[in-house]
Amino acid sequence: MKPRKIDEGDLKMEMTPMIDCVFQLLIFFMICTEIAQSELEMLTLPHASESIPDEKPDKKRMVLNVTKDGKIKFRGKSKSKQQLHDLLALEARIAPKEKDNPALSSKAILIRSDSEAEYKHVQLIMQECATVGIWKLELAAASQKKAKGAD
Amino acid sequence: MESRETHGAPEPEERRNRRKPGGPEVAGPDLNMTPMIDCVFQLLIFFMCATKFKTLEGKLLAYLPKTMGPHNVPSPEEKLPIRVTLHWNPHTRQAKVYVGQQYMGIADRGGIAAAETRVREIRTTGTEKAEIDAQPVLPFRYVSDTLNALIRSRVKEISFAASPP
Repeated sequence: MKPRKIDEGDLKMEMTPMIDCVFQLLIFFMICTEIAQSELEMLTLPHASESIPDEKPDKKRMVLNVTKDGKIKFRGKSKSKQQLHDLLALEARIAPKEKDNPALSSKAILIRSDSEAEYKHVQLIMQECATVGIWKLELAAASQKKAKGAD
Repeated sequence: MESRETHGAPEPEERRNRRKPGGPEVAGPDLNMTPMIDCVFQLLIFFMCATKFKTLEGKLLAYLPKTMGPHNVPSPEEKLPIRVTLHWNPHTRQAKVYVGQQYMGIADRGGIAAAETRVREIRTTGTEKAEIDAQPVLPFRYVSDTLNALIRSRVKEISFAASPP
């Protein structure tokens, strides 16, 4: 049987669905990038075999990042000691209180520190937390060796 | 015989013109989509490469002393916590581990494991509290490793010593 001859002038590729898909993907990646970068810094977290998975975290939980060079960052912005104090004081004020001690906040905050950052920066956060009445802390850790944070 | 090309399906140009009801049969300007698609693909590839998705991380729970408020005055019968001290030598870049006054070794060479064993021994005497006293210049991973070792040795309360002002 002879193959049917098709006139090439009739062939038009329908581009609209492809462009729709591409735009959808583009918007998806733009939004993902924004969300991922707002809270979590790129850090090398310390390894801890006893760490528990951070599943279903409180969406309003404060996340403080301590970078290798000692910067304390909240939502991508470096904070000074005074700014950190104000931030934690506000967090403690709006958070629900412990039933047995209304001076203490019942909400935890997550400290993500680079494994090579000096401990004094984490210690500063701890001291400020203790000052404002936040006593529950979560220290981020990787459950596998050489795991990177925020990837 | 009539050819399919001339009398069968209408030409694309004719099809376009038929969409305008009542209008003159004038062909609209052809929009060149290629540069836009190029740009969109470039952006798409950029964002695909740049996106870092949030992965599931682990966490170690730590509690600070409940020193605020009138409800937490420690009783005098309470036993002193097991004190794990981490001393950093910036010249050798090594961390020394002590449990109480007893030297356990270099942290990277089994010092933390030795401390864990010692803490397990002390725990049998009934002490359930431990305190990590680390030098401020110490890399955080040693503190994390020590905390991890203390959690593994089933110490119930782990606190952090405050540094002198």
